Amino acid sequence: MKPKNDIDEHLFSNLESFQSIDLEGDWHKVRRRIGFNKKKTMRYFWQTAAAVILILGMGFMIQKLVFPTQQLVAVQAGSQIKEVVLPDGSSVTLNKQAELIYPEKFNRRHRELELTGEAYFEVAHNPDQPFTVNVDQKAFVRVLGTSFNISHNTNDESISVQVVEGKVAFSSIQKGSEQIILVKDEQATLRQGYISKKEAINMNFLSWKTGKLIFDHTSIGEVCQQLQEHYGVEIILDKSVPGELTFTSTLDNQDLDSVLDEISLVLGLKYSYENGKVVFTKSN
Amino acid sequence: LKNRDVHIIKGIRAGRESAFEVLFKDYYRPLSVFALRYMSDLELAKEIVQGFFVHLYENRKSIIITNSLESYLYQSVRNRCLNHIRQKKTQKQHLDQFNLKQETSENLEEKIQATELEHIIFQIIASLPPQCQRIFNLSRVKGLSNSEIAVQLDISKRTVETQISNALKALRNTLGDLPVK
Repeated sequence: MKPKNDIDEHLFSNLESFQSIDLEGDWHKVRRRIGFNKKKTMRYFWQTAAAVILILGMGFMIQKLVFPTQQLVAVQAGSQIKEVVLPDGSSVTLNKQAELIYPEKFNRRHRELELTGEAYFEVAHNPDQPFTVNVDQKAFVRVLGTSFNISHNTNDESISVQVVEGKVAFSSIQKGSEQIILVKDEQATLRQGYISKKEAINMNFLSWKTGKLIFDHTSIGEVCQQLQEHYGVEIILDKSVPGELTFTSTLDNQDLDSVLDEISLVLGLKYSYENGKVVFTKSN
Repeated sequence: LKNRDVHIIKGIRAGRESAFEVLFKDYYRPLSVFALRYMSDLELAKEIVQGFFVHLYENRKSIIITNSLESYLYQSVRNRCLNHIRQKKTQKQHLDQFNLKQETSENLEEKIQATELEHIIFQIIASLPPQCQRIFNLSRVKGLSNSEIAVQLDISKRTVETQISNALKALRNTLGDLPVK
């Protein structure tokens, strides 16, 4: 059966040609001739990739410049007093158990730190870069360059600042709270949201750092108070001890017993340990 | 100009490979078969059509298509074929054979339409199931008899007849819908 006329002949030979054409293969020939080749696509890919990386990089740098991400350093004093030198050259002495968090690199506009516990600061002077200590998320101490001590009494939740040199601004962390300016030899305490300023500075506030206790006609009650803080032991005055006694001495890194011996000898007292507490009584 | 064509032309002007690929895949085969009307063999016809596509892309910015994309493509391929023939003096007999100088635009229109119709037929055949396509090709393209096909494919003669009648039915169904030109 051969149902072919002339038209069929022509049509079907064309069909054969049509079917024999390799559409994909010839398309690739043409696109290669035009230059839609892989290389071009790859070059385009790399150009795009490079542009994307460049933009990301620039964005990252801009972000770095505008909002420097701070790599934080945390220093814990633990059972020993620890000295820390900050990136700006300021030095901080941490009392036992204190913790200081500061950025590895300070922001160009300010120096911000966080403190828990007690520490003594000697701040490198730089009026363009205020130095702010956030104390236990409760108070701010802001300075330009000075030496001062910050202590946090965990018993009554009070925070005290004593200024040795220069000028310090002290405020509660609460917004709109008053700011107290402290100068050399002044001290202020934040207690229950209020700040009270004392002119007469306790000259032994740095004893934890220096190991030195200086008493100059100091009442026996005050002496015991400070020894208590310095040595971390409770000291009780018996009723037999006259309250008007005063003590004058410079104690330089002495152990507790030698201090107690010295006081007893000078003031005519005796002491004993009772349940881990020191009890002074009048010696007869 | 059809919407789709406007879209494709715009894409090609903008240098989009995807648009160019669509155009190529739609027209490359029918244009090649069309070129066969002027050229002696398929390889040459394909070469001319490929050259045309490359030229089209390279000159995409200066090409103006006003009427129909299809007639633009067919006319361009035709011109290329004629140029080719003119350049090949050895093929002078072709020139005479096709009596080119007297080819009128109506004549060309007819050729284009015939090619387009062929294209439709080829598409229908291409859409048939592979076995049906194969049997139809053996019958109509290779000119084998139904019995010869049955032997070659190891199937019954009846199956061959059914498949061919299916193919013809598909052609009739679609071609019957076409407006008479």
